Amino acid sequence: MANLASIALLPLAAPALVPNLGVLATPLAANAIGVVLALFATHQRDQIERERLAQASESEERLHLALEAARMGTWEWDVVADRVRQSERAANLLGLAPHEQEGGIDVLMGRVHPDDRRQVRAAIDAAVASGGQYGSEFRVALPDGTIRWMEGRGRAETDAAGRTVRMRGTRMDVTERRTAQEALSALTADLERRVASRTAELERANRALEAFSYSVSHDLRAPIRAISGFATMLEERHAAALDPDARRLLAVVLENASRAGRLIDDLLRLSRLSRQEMVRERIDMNALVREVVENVRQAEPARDVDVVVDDLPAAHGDRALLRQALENLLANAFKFTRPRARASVRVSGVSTPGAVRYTVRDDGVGFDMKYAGKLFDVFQRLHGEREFEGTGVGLAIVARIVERHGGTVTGEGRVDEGASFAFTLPAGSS
Amino acid sequence: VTIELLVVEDNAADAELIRHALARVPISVPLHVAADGEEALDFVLGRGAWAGRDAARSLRLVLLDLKLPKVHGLDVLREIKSTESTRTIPIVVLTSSRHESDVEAAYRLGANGYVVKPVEFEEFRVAVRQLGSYWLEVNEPAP
Repeated sequence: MANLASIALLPLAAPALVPNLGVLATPLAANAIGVVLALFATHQRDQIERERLAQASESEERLHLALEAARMGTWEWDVVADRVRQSERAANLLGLAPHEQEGGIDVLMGRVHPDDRRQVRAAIDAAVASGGQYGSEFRVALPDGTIRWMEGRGRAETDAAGRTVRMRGTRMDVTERRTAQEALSALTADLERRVASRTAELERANRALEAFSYSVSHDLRAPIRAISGFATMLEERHAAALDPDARRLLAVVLENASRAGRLIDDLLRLSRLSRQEMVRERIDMNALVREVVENVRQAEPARDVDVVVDDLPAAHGDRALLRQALENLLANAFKFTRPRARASVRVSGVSTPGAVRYTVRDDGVGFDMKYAGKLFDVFQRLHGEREFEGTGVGLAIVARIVERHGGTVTGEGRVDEGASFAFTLPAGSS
Repeated sequence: VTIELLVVEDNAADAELIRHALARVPISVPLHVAADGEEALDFVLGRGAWAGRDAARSLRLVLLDLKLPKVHGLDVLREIKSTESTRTIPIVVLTSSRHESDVEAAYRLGANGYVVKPVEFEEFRVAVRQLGSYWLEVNEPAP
């Protein structure tokens, strides 16, 4: 930079001044003023030259300081004569003795770790051939046996014909950086290995779960069907031989076989929820809730339930799954208002920033808030089987569906004053 | 030709429940039970113990379980449906599995129906009776 500036300055200042003065001075050669002017011009030129040198040496000094601060050595290689000159630091970095500071490129190459020589040589050859940049990282085996990592950078300089005649550059010790990088990549590799092994573990667990649910669906159903089937056949074919107590006992067998069957079906439904692929779309919740209410009504046609559906914001989610969640919530609302001669159920919804929230409220038997924490657990029931039928899976299914959508579900209730269940769904991007 | 029915079922209890459910179907049809996939193929294709027998003309329905000893139900289905002389025999899968992959594979291989065995006997009996009455009484078989 400093060189460029002074080169640019010279033709503008000194040489430009002298010819101009010369033209002016020739007719006035005997004139004292001319002599003074000429002397002045010479003085001016010397002054500029001195300043230029001072500046150059100052910038060299600065460069030297900067290189020292960066612990960089410099080198210069005359490619044609194969002669290397390098700074003391550059030589020290390679563990070269002072008398080895100058020499051919082979002196340097001799210090490069044998395993890295080919790579360094290729980088140098490429820079020489292209007249471009050189850069490589390599190991150096110092005379005391230690191994250090070096980074060499440089640039080729070409003659008018485009032939590389010289390369100049820097060298620095990057062992610490290298060590840190290696530690980091070892850490990363270890982390990746652990993630892979955990993933494999999870996949194994998943497959075991799949196999389990397959075997539940297959192998557990058959004996239950056999129990209910043969008990039925016994009841039908031998009715005459059975006294009322025998028939009552058979009825208990049948009832429990059928309950076991429902449990298995519900469990399978729950396990399928986790595997089922989700298809997210925009859903008109007003239409979906109306459909579901209609279905639930048909299941209990004799009931007098006043269902109010507010204007609901649209949802973004899997239609089949959300339908199932709503079916369970509304079926529960119908079920737990059964003691009411005239029951009322209300579905409301609200849009909040980033989410939509839907609430199903009923005026049924409600529940004690001290059990609220158990509401969404599998097989948790807050009412006896005689009061309200069920396997205790319905709300667990709702929770699983809402969680898969990235939402949350909550339940509130008071004994005999009704219950309200709310779930949120993240607002859709589309 | 007397018409027949084949039940491929390794679970003896289920086989008896099927027999019981079908006993009420008005047309009384001889019912054979094959307890594994190989026996089923022998019966349908006229091989082994059933060599020389032409079942293709008399079989009106095969009720096929999937999880079977020796030869899996889907392989039984594949072989019957890819054999020229037997491919028109109606085969309804009657199984405990409602796995999507099983249902899809069965239809791809040419199953004429897929029924998941209800756990509760009463529902099971209704389902089997409907199957029997549809395929043995309502449906017109291939000539």
